[in-house]
Amino acid sequence: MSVPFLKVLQPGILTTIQDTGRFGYQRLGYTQSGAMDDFALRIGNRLVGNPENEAGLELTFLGEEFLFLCDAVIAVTGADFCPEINGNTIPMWQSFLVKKDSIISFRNRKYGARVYICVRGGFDVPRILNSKSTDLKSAFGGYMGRKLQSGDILSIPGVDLASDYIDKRFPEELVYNNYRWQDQPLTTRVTLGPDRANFTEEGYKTLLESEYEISEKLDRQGYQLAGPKIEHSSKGPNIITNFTSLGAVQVPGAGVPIILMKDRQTSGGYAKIANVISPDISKLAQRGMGDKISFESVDISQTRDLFIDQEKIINKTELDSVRRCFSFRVQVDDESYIVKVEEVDCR
Amino acid sequence: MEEVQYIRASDCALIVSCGEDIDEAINKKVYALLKMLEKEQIKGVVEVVPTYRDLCISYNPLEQTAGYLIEICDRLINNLDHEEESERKVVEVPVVYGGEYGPDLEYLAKLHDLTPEEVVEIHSTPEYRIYMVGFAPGFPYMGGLDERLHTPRREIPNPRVPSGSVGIGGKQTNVLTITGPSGWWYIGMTPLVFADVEKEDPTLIKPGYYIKFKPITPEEYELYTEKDTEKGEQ
Repeated sequence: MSVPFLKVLQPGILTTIQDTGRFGYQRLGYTQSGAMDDFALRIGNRLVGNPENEAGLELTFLGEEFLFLCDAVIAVTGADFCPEINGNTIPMWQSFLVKKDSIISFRNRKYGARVYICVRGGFDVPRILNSKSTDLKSAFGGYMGRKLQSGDILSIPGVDLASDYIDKRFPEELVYNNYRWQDQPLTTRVTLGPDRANFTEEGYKTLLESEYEISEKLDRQGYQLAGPKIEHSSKGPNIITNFTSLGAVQVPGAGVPIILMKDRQTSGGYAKIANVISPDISKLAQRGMGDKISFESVDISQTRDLFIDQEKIINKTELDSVRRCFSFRVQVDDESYIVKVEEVDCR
Repeated sequence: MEEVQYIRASDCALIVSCGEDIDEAINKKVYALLKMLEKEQIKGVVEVVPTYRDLCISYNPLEQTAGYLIEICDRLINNLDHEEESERKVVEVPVVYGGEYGPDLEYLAKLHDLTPEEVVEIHSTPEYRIYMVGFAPGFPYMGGLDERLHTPRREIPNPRVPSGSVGIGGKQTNVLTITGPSGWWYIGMTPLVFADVEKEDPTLIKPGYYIKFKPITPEEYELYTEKDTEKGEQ
């Protein structure tokens, strides 16, 4: 059974359905796709009790507006665009019940670049090549292989309002660590190589000691940076066409780095000076044009621990139960009292 | 044979480099290793992508380590069975050469002091090895183009070349699997669809296969197209 869930009133610049990505088909030329900020998507799924690889909506920058067509349990994670339901501010990183006919909108930007909306049960779209993600370039997956437009109606497999997944919250301090960076420059941790021989020592020095700015050439494929030019060795900028990994920092002939993201081509012929470590991809995904970034080298032998730490935060963090609170004014004889009533766990 | 090198591409990707050049023997070694690796069904391996000279293994560091993967690859390489390659898969690709189907055929023939017929003959004779698939779904990187047809790319790329175009650029020939800009010279067109996610095999060809071009007439081309349409309507 499929239930109409969400109608698009304002689609914003780029709203797509994304899960954690399409794997196993890169050797045939199909891109990875998937949520740019997979930390936010996975937490959103956990909050509403979905498998972490379920598909959610990825919103890019401001202006979106959606109408709920049924009651549902949802969570909003990622960038803070001051989400409101019927004009009232709603909490982020928390699951809650939304009512049919209410409208959610995103009008002001506090920080970040991409918002995720996850719904209990996930979106009812076909799984193609093992994934629900939208592949924009090859035009398949997600909702009809494209970004959402006004009037589109998205469905969910069924309505499940089980209270186990309502009012769960991801701890504030962990959100803070990953997202509340305000306007501070991002230090992106990288491993060096794989194409080390294509760069001079001076080239590496430039990469690690300069500040770069994310240019206007940024999309789900990659972020082109602006800043000091990186020197190639006599081997030059070209390599025999090879695999492209997520977060690869490739440097074409002009010397300006490009960081490859989720929609990158599956192969490329530019030398890669470094690779952003997995836990930092999500942070990068929340940066936009004009944001400053610098690179810090980490030893490859340390990266497994950093990876495991991040996975622990995503999978093992205990979710808080938000206790609902009500205040009553009680009149006893002539005295007036304020009484606060809080839900408690009776199980 | 060159020594295999291991390069950590990222915190979750290992490159097994089988050589330095674009070379059939090196590429065959990549595929022999790929086959053996797949038989092992190693836990935590997310994706294995063969390229010209490397095998790129993506893994989940929660379940797997680069060290263990290197150990396995070392063992497999020592027992590398080159007979794995014996079954040669050749995909016949029908092509209408010249005219509106291949607008650059005449120019290319003149450039190389050949007749258009000779270009077609030379181009459709070999079985081209697909060294890897990348760039776009089903896009083959092939080797084996006859030296007489080697042609530098266009100085100014053609902004829109239709999907299915069969072309030559540098020392290579290819089939464009998506419509887009290209700096290659296009001498023909195939009615075959190289990438279709609705099919069980989402691409017509796979890395390691061979392609043999077969000249057909425009009338035959139309028959293919109709057949494809019928299939789509079922």
